[in-house]
Amino acid sequence: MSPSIMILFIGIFLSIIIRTFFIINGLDVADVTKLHQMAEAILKGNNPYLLFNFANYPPIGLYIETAILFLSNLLGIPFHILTKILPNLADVITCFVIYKFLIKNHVKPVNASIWSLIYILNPISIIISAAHGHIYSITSLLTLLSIYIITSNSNKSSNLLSAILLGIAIAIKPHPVMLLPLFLVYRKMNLKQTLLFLFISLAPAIIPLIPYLWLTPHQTIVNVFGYSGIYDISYAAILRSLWHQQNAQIWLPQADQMLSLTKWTFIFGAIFLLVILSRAKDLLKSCLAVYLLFIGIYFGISAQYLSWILPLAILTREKMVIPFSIFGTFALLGFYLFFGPEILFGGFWHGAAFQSKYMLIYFVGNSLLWIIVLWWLIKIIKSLFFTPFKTFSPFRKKIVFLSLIVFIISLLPILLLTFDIIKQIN
Amino acid sequence: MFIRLTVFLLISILLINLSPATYALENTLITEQELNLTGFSGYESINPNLLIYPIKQLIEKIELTLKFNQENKTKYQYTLLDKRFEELVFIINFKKTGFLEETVQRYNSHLGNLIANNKNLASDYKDKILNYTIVLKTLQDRYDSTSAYRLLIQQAIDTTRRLN
Repeated sequence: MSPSIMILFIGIFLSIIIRTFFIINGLDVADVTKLHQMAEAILKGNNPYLLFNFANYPPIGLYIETAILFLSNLLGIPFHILTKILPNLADVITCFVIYKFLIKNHVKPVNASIWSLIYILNPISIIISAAHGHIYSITSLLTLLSIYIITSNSNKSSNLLSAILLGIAIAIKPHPVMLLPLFLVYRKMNLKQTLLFLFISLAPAIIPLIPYLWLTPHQTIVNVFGYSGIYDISYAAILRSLWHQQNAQIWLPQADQMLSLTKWTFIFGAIFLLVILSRAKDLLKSCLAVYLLFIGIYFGISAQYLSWILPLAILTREKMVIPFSIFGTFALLGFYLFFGPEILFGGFWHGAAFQSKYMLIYFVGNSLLWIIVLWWLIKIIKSLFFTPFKTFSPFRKKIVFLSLIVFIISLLPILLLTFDIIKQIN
Repeated sequence: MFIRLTVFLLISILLINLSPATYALENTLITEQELNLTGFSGYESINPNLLIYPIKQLIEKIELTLKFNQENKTKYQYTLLDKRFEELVFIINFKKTGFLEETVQRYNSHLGNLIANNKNLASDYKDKILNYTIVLKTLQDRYDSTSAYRLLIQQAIDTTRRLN
């Protein structure tokens, strides 16, 4: 066995031990409980979109959880343990996929092993899949495969396969939909091909939704399309920790305004990125830039969203993934210690949540994380933008400037609202 | 890079820490004059509502560990009691009631520790401790008799009396 393979397997083995520890000691709490409730409702033949305001995901994602509950009942294994097997398995597969792709891209085997281990031993990946119990790693794996297929082959069937994989990813968790425009402009496709790609990548999410839209249109639309996320991480966390000093309040009074304003700012920022990164050679980096923009600009960032960054960043061998992982872990630690210690520590936690002493970790971790995310985003834009910009047509250059100006203008109300919040803290 | 980030954070934490100094006096339960009349000497500069409060606690713990003489250690614990009391008064008077429960618990726990281990020195601080109850009672009277905050302050008063 070659040393690189040995390193890879030792790392994976170590990661499995750590992950197993988290899974075994985990509890049926927080999001796992919500998933459990939704799966139970579906198993009983009920409509989760009608029953729960937290049923925010497309049906396929919920059906996966329902299948897990069915298995859990059949095998007698608790749901909170069984639900974490699949995302952790996806993490192991992602690790192998990263290794294989890096080898194919002529990276030295030992280096490819080390990069793959940065993923599988990454505390963010371990916490989100093994402790929090989210299935985002399945979506990440499918998105990664979809990007790889479209970038490594230029025939029609690879386009089709890429669209199918992206479609399944969106059907499980809808966030890769923000990458879809980059896929559509990556290759020169005629209108028919573009529409076909669009249809295939949206159909797995939309088609299973149709019965729910037919039966309960209002609740389904509000739940699935109106979901804004919980503002736990990134600069929302900085503002929340500052606001906490006011009178130990954990919710920001201006959160709804912030969520709606930053939704538009993100859209304008994404348009700017789309204009400058359209047909950029590096689709992986372009997708990474969109995710970083989302985490750096949008207000409703949940803890689990940090895991989206890892596979893309590692496959592009971005060294910034190291400080991102360190500060991200720090931010997550602050988040779990304050808001949900039982999610991270499981049966080992015997204290209370909402202890003010952990707010400092939450504040410092998120401040460092936010700075790193913005810094990284600017670095990627600089690397992907400046050389091709010279070759842009005068019209495209005008569009670039226009979209940049609109994006900057859209930042102003957010800044004003942020100052308003800080002004109220005394 | 890391140095720049650290400097940024330190500056922001310092700026945040300055904010209570500019807090309007009309937001207090009783005026500073009234409070001074009860014998209250002054607030702590870093209070439990601030993000940097855990750093203060950490420094205190280190300082306590570094006091090797038992007498100095006990004296320092009474100094810390004074700090906990001033923090409690800040939280009550500035109506930061969201922090009241944990501040009262911290104050009571410190008192409990002194009652259990170092009560013999309490006579040296008799007047000061008596004054604590007067200040707390004055603040407590501003709350409605059915208020939960009143009950929490009463717990602090009762524990203080146990030391005397």
